Amino acid sequence: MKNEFLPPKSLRDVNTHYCSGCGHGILHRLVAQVIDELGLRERVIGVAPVGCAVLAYNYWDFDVSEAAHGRALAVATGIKRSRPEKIVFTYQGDGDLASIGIAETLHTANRGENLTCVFVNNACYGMTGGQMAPTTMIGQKTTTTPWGRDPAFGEGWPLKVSELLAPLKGVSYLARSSISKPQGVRQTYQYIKKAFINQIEKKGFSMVEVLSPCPTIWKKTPIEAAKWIDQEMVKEFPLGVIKE
Amino acid sequence: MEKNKKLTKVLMSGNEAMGEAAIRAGCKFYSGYPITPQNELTAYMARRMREEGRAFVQAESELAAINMIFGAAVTGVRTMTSSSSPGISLKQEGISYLAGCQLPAVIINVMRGGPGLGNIDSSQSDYFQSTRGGGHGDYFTPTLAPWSAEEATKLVVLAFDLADYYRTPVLVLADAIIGQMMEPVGLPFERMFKKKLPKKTWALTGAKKRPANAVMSLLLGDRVLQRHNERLGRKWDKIKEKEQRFDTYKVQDAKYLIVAYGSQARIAFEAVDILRKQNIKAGLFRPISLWPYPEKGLKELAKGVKKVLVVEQSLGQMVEDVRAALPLGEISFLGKAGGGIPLAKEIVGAIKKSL
Amino acid sequence: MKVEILISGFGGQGIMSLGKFLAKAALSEGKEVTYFPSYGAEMRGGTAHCCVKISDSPIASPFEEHPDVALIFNQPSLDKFKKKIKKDSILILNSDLMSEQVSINNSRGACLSLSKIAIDCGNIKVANVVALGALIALDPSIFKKETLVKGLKLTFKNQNTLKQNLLALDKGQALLSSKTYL
Repeated sequence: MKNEFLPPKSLRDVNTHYCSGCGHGILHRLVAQVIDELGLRERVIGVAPVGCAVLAYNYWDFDVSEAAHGRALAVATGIKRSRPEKIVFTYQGDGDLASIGIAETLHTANRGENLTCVFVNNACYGMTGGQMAPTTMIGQKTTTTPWGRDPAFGEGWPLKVSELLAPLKGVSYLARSSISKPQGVRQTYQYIKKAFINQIEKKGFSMVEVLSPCPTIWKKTPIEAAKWIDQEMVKEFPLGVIKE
Repeated sequence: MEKNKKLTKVLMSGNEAMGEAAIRAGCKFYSGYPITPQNELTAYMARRMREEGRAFVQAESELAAINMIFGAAVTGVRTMTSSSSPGISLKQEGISYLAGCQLPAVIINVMRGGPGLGNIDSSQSDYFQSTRGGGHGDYFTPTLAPWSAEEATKLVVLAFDLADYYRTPVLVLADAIIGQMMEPVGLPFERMFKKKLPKKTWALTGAKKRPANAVMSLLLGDRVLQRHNERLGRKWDKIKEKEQRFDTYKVQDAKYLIVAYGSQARIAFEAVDILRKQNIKAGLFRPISLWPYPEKGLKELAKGVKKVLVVEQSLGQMVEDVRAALPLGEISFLGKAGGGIPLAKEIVGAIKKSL
Repeated sequence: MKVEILISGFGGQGIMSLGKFLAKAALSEGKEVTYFPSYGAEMRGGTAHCCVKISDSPIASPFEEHPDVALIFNQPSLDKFKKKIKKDSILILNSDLMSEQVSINNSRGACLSLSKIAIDCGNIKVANVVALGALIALDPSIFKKETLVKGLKLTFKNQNTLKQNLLALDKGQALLSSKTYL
């Protein structure tokens, strides 16, 4: 019988710097597991964002490049166009992908770049200490929305990137999941796997948006954080396959 | 302006010639964004790269373009982007990352007038930005300034070699005149760099039969970044020592030395001939590498010279490097900014005034 | 030998094409040459111009200073460059696009109906080549006619267009050979 609990080869056996209850550890493992399962470790090139996951190359045991803030998909475009036989993915947070890098996100998707993008939505800037992100929920308190995000004060509404990209012809696959529960983790694994298979099959741009807990910034326990995703975030960011 | 009858000469603009040089140097990925006066270069690459079966992407922004170049460089292929002054300002973040991550890439700046949107006339006002690092952090960008379409081709090829040899981004600093002007260009292009280039073992190509590689410029931890900067510092020192380049004209017996680079050097060249006809012993010192500045050559030449005149299409930027190289020299400056070009008769006038 | 040629007119009159054509022709005769265009969007609708310099020795500055030859295709171009044109310059003007009665006192000048002659050749776009024909009539030393004919044959693959251009060259040349100019 296969032991499901052996760590993937693509994941290094080290402690991460992530906070307790953070979603990155789970997601790093899911990505590594997909890469192992599809036999991609020797031809995959990952692009890490600026944000908490910037050190991802310390945890993944395959080739990884950093990118300037928001530019992961531009860097990935350069990699993929230079070496089309490689499997290239970005791993980006909401500040990186949806705010400073939204132009790159939109245009990479619109060009139909044959890339895989893992978009980690935790409704805040984590690394810099908890500022408002484009995905921050209405009423959510952050260091830059101390009274809670309020559109009446010009702070806008949560940006739904997956829905924004859905009409673009270059986009082949969009799905949103949550890793707040074990079944969500399994679902996320399936979505990410599909997003990589699409690239192998040259189908164009695939993105999986993952609702991921940030207990430290949310000032919640890991269990409360998971509940907040299930009870609040999913109302704004409904789960499921958005485009296939 | 070099006479070389052995080569086949083709009429090309500097912009097209630089594009062709990049292709012949083995550039595998180009990305750019529209901006005058370098649009012919992007258009040339759009056509030629596909003909060669290589990758061309018109980027959504200057930021995306430089970061696509970053991505290509990460995989170890030769890569280039081009723009003009306002666009190069936008690219500075990416150039800083390239330098920090020690990635080879070639960036062409076909300079126009500034600050701000400025105009589209020729200018040399990005000298400071080019030779002082340009972006954030402690780094320098080797900078090569061509004075003709033909030399531009050689310097683009050299830029690729220098970038690979030193693992750092290299800038070719042209200007609107060099980019727009058409001249006979010799094919194939000459290779100026003779050293063997190192293997790119650091490149990300998939972790096959080797440990995984990582490209990064974030270096946390006790003195990790400090040591990285010290390593970079030794690299900058080595480049300063080895890569100073310049050219001269009628300097053997010169008493009056004109210092100019790029398109301005062509006009200074004309001024030297006019002055010589009037029995005034003028000569031209033309820096080709702006960083590192060819101070050794300048110091040597200045020994027998009475006066030095620096001429620039700016309010005075390179003149600071001349002053630094010749602290005791009698140095005067003639410059125009915002598209103004110091003319040969004005240079002649300035020299005669100082007699 | 050192010649500076200024060509100026509206965008679309084949100003740049003519400049590049002449630069290539000079190169094919083994001459040193520079071609410098006006560029950028702000030029459209106004004047587009270019400067071609041809010499036996290397050329330093590519800019127009005092052209030896000026081919001027419209009134705004004449207004713009009038001051730079020397008394002994060869000056060819397109009388069809001059809003005022121009008097030129150049010893080697001609005000010609370039656009109308081009229409006679079957294509208004060949007005630039009519001017070129006039130029070789005024001064046969700059370009050999066979070089230009060869160049036109290389440039135009379409036989009809080539015919129109060759006709324009002949008509331009014939105009001045028969001394019907100012």
